[in-house]
Amino acid sequence: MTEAKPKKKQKGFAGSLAAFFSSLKLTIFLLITLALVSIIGTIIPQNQLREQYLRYYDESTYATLKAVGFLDMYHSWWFVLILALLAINLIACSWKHFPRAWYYFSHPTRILDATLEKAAKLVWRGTLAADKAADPESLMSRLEEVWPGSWHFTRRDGDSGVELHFAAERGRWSRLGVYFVHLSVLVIFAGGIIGSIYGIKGFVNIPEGERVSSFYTYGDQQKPIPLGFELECRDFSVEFYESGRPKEYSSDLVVYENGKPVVQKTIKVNHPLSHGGFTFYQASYGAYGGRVAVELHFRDRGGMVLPLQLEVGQPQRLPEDWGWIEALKVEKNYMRMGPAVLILRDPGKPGVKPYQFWAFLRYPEFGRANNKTNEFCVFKQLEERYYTGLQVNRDPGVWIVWLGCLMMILGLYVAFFMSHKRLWLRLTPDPDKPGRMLMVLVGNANKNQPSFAHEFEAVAEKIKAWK
Amino acid sequence: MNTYIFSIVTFVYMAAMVVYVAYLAFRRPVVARLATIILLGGWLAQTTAIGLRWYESYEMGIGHAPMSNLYESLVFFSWTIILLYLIIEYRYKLSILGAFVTPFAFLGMAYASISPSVNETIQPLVPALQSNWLISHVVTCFLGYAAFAVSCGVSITYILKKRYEERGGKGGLMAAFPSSEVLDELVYKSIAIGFPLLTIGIVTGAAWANYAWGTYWSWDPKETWSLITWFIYAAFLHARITRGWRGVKAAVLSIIGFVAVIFTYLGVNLLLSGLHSYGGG
Ligand code: HEM
Repeated sequence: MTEAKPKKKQKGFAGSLAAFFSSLKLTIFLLITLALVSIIGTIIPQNQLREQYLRYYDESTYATLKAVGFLDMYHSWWFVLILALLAINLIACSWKHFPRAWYYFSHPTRILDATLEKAAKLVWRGTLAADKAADPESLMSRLEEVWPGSWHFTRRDGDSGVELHFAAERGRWSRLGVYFVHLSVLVIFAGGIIGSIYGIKGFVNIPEGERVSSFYTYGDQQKPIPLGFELECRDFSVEFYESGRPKEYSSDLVVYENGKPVVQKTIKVNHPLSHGGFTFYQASYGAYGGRVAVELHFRDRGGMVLPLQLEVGQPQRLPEDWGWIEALKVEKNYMRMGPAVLILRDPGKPGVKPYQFWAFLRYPEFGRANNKTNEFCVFKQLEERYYTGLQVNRDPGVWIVWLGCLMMILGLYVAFFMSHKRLWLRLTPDPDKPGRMLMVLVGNANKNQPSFAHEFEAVAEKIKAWK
Repeated sequence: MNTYIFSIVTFVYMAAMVVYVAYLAFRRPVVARLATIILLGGWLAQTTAIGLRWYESYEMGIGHAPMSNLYESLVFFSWTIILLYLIIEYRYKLSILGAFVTPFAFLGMAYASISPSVNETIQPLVPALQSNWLISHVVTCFLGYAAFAVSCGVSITYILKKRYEERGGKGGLMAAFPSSEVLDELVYKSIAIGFPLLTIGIVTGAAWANYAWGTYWSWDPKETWSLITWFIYAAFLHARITRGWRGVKAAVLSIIGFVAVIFTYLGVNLLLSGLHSYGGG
């Protein structure tokens, strides 16, 4: 099945257009072009922000690259056009070749005629006593023993009397493997297109202990997209190897439908959660406020000490008329002095302004030295809280892509490792020796001929032994 | 321990390569025998060392298949090349190809052992690499790459032989090689093995990416280069059945294909940036 010649040449513009689109030369051209242009996008960073590009390129280079689509080239119109041409090429080519392949597939050759015999590379000749061939049915079952396959018997009147034709084949459908591969390319394209039209990608950050019911898409105008259910992050944790390399990130997630928990799963990198058509992947994390334990020491009021638990960002009222306190923010390493909390203190007295100061976890005495007010704050404990960063995805095309990939792999296996093997045996009366038949055995395989040649010889050897 | 064996294996492969070249020159069956024995010995030692490294990683409490950084992948690549070559030599009795295939394995090992930019220590896996997909992805890719290494070696031989035949050459070194048709068939065979493996490698990579990051294809440079390689070999397969593209042109395509393989494997990490792991060496 090499490049088949068209049966009749179509003429005119339509004909030459069809010939152009179904040609293998176009295929080679497109595949090589795809290989070459794909290189561009691996050299020029793709889909970055304008500011990032301006670090490597000047303004006019940037504008030019953007105009020709080199900054998002795999989605540029011309790249998509090359892919579309490949798809058209593939369809036109199959349109041209498939009917012929199907014809041969559905019309197996059961008669060994002179043309076939002449073209054959594997031929064996011998003779057989005519009475042995008197019962073709038993002859056929012997053949089935010699070479299992679907044997067919045809009786025909030839030039020198009644001819007995036996034909068998194996792996006929392997001829269709290539078409299966070609179809799979189209299926993968289809899956990709469906994904790009109906798919959606986004992200959501969930602080530990909180729930969300929507997520955000990437891009300039981030708008929330409803999930249709609620997702809670119960806990996030990160572990490190001794060397400081990250070992594992994980988030305990709970899905709520109508307020009731329905699914609980701990996700990690490589272990996402799927629910309601969306899949959630562990993508990032970050610190998110937290809780601090502080002690407020009063120099007056008998040196009283007031232990407090503060939620970052939430003002807290103190007993009596002692005013308010708030932990404004926490820094992991403020002024290279380790964790610190910025406290806002409003003494709640008329005429005294609220004031801010830092308290350091590692230097509790720092505040005591400050004598401007008659109180000071000691930072006792930091309970950091994280948020988990999830990537949210919905891609209805992905299963079609996997189907296409599976088809391609199976098709490649069939196309490269299976072969269509055929055997023909013809018996004709020997014109010179009455009572004997002339036998011709012919074999053909479309792949892996050397190994089939061995097989053929073994068959011939067995038939020779019939006598 | 394992790295020590690997450096010995490098020298064994070099010795095998030299003997294969000697076989090219002298064409004595004994020499070919010797080359095969040396190569097989080296390969068995390498197999042992890979097993040992795997075991050692578990001893260290960070157990994982030894395929996770540049050093380990270079070693594994050489291993698959020799494995595939030994199978081909055994099946087709073509010791003559050894001189063209063993250099790839030797260079891989030498680069791994000598280059200061390649870190030999067993390192823990970062979260993204902790996946069962890692093994299937890496193994299929590298088996495919090894098949392409063989096809590249044979393609070079094919072009030399074809030129020689066209000059109506007799005698000399080239006479010892199989006919250009046989070589052409071998190029095709090895690509027919490599192409499906590369396809599976790309598909498992995509499946893994989808599982880890939610996108089966993100045009990351490494992904893109593997696709470029795939395009080139697809072009080769169709070139071979097209009049005017058969023969030397197709062989050149297969050599370019292997250049793309090497770039996918090393160039991308050394020259470009992306998601794949052995970027830092
Ligand atoms: C990415 C796209 C394509 C892939 C992956 C692909 C794959 C293949 C494979 C694996 C083979 C078998 C080769 C062999 O047995 O040596 C093949 C054969 C073939 N392909 Fe493609 N192909 C693609 C595109 C095309 C296109 C666009 C055409 C249109 C002209 C085409 C026409 C053919 C023909 C005519 C054959 C020979 C079939 C036969 O043996 O009867 N292919 N293709």
